Parts: sequence; structure tokens; C-alpha cells
Amino acid sequence: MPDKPSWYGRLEQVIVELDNLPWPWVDRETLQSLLRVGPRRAQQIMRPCVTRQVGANGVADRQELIAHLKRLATGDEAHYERRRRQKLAQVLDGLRQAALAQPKVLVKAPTTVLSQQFANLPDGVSVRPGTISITFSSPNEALQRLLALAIAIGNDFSEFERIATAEIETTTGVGTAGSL
Amino acid sequence: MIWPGGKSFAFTIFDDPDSQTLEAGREVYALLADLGFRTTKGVWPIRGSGTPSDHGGTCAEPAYRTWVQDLQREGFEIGLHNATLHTSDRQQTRLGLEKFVEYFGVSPITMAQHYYCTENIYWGDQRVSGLHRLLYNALTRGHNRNRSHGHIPSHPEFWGDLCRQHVRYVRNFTFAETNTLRACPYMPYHDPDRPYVNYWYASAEGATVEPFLDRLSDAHLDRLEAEGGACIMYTHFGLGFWDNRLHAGFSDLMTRLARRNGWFVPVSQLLDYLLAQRGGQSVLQPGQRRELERRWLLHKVRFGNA
Repeated sequence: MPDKPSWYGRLEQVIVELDNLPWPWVDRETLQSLLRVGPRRAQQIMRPCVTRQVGANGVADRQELIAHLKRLATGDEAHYERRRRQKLAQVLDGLRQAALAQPKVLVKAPTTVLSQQFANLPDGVSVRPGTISITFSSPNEALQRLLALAIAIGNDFSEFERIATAEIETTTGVGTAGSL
Repeated sequence: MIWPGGKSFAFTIFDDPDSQTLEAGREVYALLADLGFRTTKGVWPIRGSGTPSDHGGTCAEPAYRTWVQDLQREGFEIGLHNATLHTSDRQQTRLGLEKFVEYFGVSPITMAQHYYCTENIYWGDQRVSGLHRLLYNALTRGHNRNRSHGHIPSHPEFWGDLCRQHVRYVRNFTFAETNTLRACPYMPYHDPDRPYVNYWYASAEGATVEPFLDRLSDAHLDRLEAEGGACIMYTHFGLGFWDNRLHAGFSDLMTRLARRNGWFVPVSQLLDYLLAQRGGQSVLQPGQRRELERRWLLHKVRFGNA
């Protein structure tokens, strides 16, 4: 099983053969034969260098193709960096659109919720032996409080066990419009 | 983790077949094959007669099947993505498994469950436990409550026993971290509370081309390599990777990735190696399960998918 494309190691020979072609254009069949790759991969490799059509098929400029093969094989990071910079605006726009298209966050909660502890549970959340009580005034507030409680339990499960089984009550505030 | 052959990190992909046409698949895998990647391609063994979830190809189509068989001969692993692209009862799932063996000579070692199918095993709210299940149902407005039936012996869609008999690894949690082994250091793991699955594995979120490229940015790959980690990408090569030509960013990224000193092997080979490092056994402990579920729920709260 190859670790890298096998033609990387034969690049010098491939370039010699390309230079020896009697014309300055390279078609897909020729590249496929020289690189010993399949037709699709040959087409993919030469596509950026295709500048001329011969019938229904494109042919690549030989010198552009040689430069392109060298970049692929040796890793011209500066070339990729230039291309990345050229595409920056396009990529940023794509990311923005992706962010807009992403499913809505179901619960809006501050990042501090990640470090939620029992000592500072939000108002309306109560844990007692045998009872969990959450009061809330809106559906979103209910989800926020559920999330805070779940994370507090995850952060300190032993404390949850202690509170839930001992005769100790952790209560903060009382909601007004509903309870879970 | 020490990787075989002096490699610095491990990388692989489980490609779900959703929306993947034969034409697009051939282009993507021609690139992967030439660059030396050997990953896992999920398939639907049969077409079925129900309403499909999308226009992806199945192994019921001879040209598609021949192409996938060629991939297998080249060293790619063929994985299972349920029997077909809509819900199956037990009989149809059994047929799918039989067809898989007929086409590929062996049972599927690795699978990922198709979101659309209700014969999934321990899926929807059954992926998490206790209070986390309550929270999950609140977050999803109960849409996925009791929606999966593959693990319920009395249900017509039950196939848990077949899964345990034929499939070694099933994908579960997906995280935003590129280093899947850091996100889920226990994988592959057996969960005693979900006995019909032999082992679960996790993945890195990359469902379409945009998150795939983001997850594998140079900075993230630098870190993966520095940590000596392992990345199992979850993706759909049918979603944005090819649109009459290969996505240029994807082609560039994979070309750069191939130059790194990575161990590029199929999912099952990577998981087999990890399992062997643990003496062939890995049972998830209750505290580990709580931690995994909590972090996955946080991921879900932040990203709203996966």
C-alpha cells in the first residue's frame, strides 16, 4: 500500500519524458501513462494547467504542467499560501454563510456555564434528597436552568450524590410561571 | 500513543454515502487513492422499496457496486451505513447484511448509523443516559425520544443480535475536536448498558466540505501531529466535495496532509490497533460515560448538530 503517490519518486524521469515530447501540449492519456495513474486522477492533476481545447478534450501547457507536478510532489508551501490568501475573502464569506446555515443553537447560555458548580446554581434550581425542582418564567429559561444543573452534576458528581442523598438542601430563589 | 512504522499520528475517514453519486465518488476516491489514503467508505447494500432519504447510490446498482468492489481491492475498507437509505425491518436488515457478505466477501467490521432510519441501535435519546437523556430530550424538544428501535427485542425493527454477531465497531459521539483520541480516549469501548454493540467509536465533526476543511486546517493538523493523536473524520463526500470538479480547497488540503508523517489506514485497522494496545478489552466505566455524554451534549448545545 503506497504511502505517497508512486510518481513522486519518479518525477525527474517524468519531467525528462515530458520535455522530450515533440509538442508543447500534454493530453490526459499521455499524463496517465507517464504517471501510471487512472484517467480520473490524470484529469484532476492536469486540470489547473489546461489552457487549450483539442476537440472535446483539454490539453495542458507542458511547462505549466511540469511546474504544477513539482509543486504537488515537493510541496511548495509559498504557492499554497499565495492561493490561500487569494481565496481568503471567498473562504470567509463561505464560513459566514455556513454559520448562518448551521442549525440554530437550541439553548443560549453564557460560556461560564461550562464551569457551573452547585454553589452558584441559578435562581430557581433546587436539589434535595429525592427531589429536583426547577422553576422558570419562559421555556428558554427552563432549558438554561436544566443545562446549568446537568453541567454542575457532570462537573462534580460526588457533590450531586452527597446533596441528593443527604439531608442538605441546595435552593436558590423561586420562579413564578412554571416548574419542571 | 506510539504508532506503527514510526508514524507521528493516525488519520482516517468514515464516509457516509448520503447524496454521493457514482460520478462524485469516483472523483474523490481517485484523489484519495493516488495520495496514499486508505479510508473507510460506508455503503447501503440494498435499495429497498421505501422512500429514500436522498439521491445517494447503493450497491443494488451494478456500476456503483463494481466501483465499490474495486475500492475494496485497492485497500479501502467497506463499512455499513444501515441496510439502505430508509428504515428497514428485521428481515430487510438481515437481507442487507447477507448482500454485504455476498458483494464484499466478509461481514462489515465498521458501521455508522444513518440518521434517517428508525432501526438504529441505541440512537436518538438512547445515546445518553439518566439526566443527560432528560436534557437531550429538552434540547431536541422530544423529537428523538424513543425513535430508535434496533435494540428492542420485541420490536419488528430489532436487529441488535445481528449487529453483535456481525459488526465490531459502531460510530457514536461526534466532537468538534480534530484529535478524536483526545475527545474520546476510551475508544473503542464497550458500554455494558448498550450490550448489542460490541464496541463504539467516536469521530471528528466534518459532515460537509466546510467543517471538514475547518477541522483539518494546518493549525489543527499541526496540533494533532504534535499530540501524536488520532483523527477519525465523519463526513459525507457527497456533500460539496465535488461539483463538476473537485473542491480545490479539499484537493489542496489532502495533498498537504498526505505529505505529513501520518498512519493513513481504514477505521477498523486503526480501532483494532487501539484495542490491541489495551489488551483486547475496553469497557466504559460509569464515570467515563457521564463525562463523554456531558461533553457531547455541550458540543450539541454549541453546534446544534452531529
